[in-house]
Amino acid sequence: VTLERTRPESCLSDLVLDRLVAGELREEGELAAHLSSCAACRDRRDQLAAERTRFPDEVFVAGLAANAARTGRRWWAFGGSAAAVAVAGAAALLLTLRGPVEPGVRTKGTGLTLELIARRADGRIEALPATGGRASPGEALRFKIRSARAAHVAVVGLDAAGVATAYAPSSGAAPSVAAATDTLLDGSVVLDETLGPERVVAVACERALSVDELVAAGKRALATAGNAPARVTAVEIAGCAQTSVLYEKVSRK
Amino acid sequence: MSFSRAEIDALYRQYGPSVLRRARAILGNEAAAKDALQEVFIRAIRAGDGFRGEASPMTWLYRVTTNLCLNQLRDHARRAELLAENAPPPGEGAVVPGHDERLTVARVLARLPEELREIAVYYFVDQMNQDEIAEIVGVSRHTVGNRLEEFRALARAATGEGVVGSVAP
Repeated sequence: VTLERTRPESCLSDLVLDRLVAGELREEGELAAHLSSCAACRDRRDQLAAERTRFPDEVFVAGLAANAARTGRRWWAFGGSAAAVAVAGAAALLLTLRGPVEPGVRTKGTGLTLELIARRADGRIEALPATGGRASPGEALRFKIRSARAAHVAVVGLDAAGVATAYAPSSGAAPSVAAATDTLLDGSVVLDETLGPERVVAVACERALSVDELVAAGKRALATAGNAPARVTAVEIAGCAQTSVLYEKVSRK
Repeated sequence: MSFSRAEIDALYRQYGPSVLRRARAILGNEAAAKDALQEVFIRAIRAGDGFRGEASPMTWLYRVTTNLCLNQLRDHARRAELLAENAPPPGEGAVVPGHDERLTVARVLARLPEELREIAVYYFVDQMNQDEIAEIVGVSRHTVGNRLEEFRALARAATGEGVVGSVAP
């Protein structure tokens, strides 16, 4: 038996306690009176409050970034087999750039590729084209990387508002990927309302660089380019291969 | 008016824990719950002013999370039925769950008629009283009471099968 109430109907529901803990309700009046006399509801309130303190470690958010699941199967779970086909078919769209590069110019032989895979508003999953890719606020992106060598990889977004945001990983040290293996990185980003060009830069290093280091380098690169993502040619990360994709964030129709 | 990056960040921190906890409870699957978390916030972002103008964003998120997760369970059940229809007979590679397999909330919900599922979630998972359920579902308290009676009948019928739980008197 798994469906059982743990508190009687006269107690406060999780909705009420969630609203209280989230700041939507104040602990006053009847609510305060009940809490002062009911240990079960106080315990539940404290439990929900404690849960919130753990959340940032569990699901990272930096600006618009949100962790998704750890594997393609999970992330595409809503899309089903059609999504899997779309991902498989997207392999032909792998984009290889080497920094510093001129905007929109492909280079070959760097050993590092980055692919942006978008989850569209209507649920379709598709890779952004190598050039001229577009996405809209509310859509989500994931990052597929392939490095010729085993390396620590990370991805940062440089947007038209002059903001650098760590996309993958969301915090801490860059994860390692195996050599010559397509890797769908943990984490996805839900695009915010900042329209215009955005450059997504991936780096691959022998050392486990920190996300903070990459974001700082991204900010410097944006500043140097007058906060114009299209003019960013590279981020300064010594000893690392890098590649980037420039796409346009356009408003929803 | 659209959400700024800072607003999205704040919303996620303010409401994300509740959405994730409920998705876990309903779906019983960590990966699916995180998918649901993301999907719910995508919907909130798209709703824009509609969401921002809610008197209680938490209530809005409860409703959306519940519907999303129940839809997932329904879709999953349909896929499972299709797989079962096309599965080889036992002894030829089919996997038959053991009788002692733990019954999750998701599995119990899957055995309920659709019209009972939403109310069951609010009643058992969220510990709401009947007035709260009536308000969030948009039906009368009388209807909620009737649905819970149906649930009690199902529980009695299923006694011995370990399928459904108990309703507080």
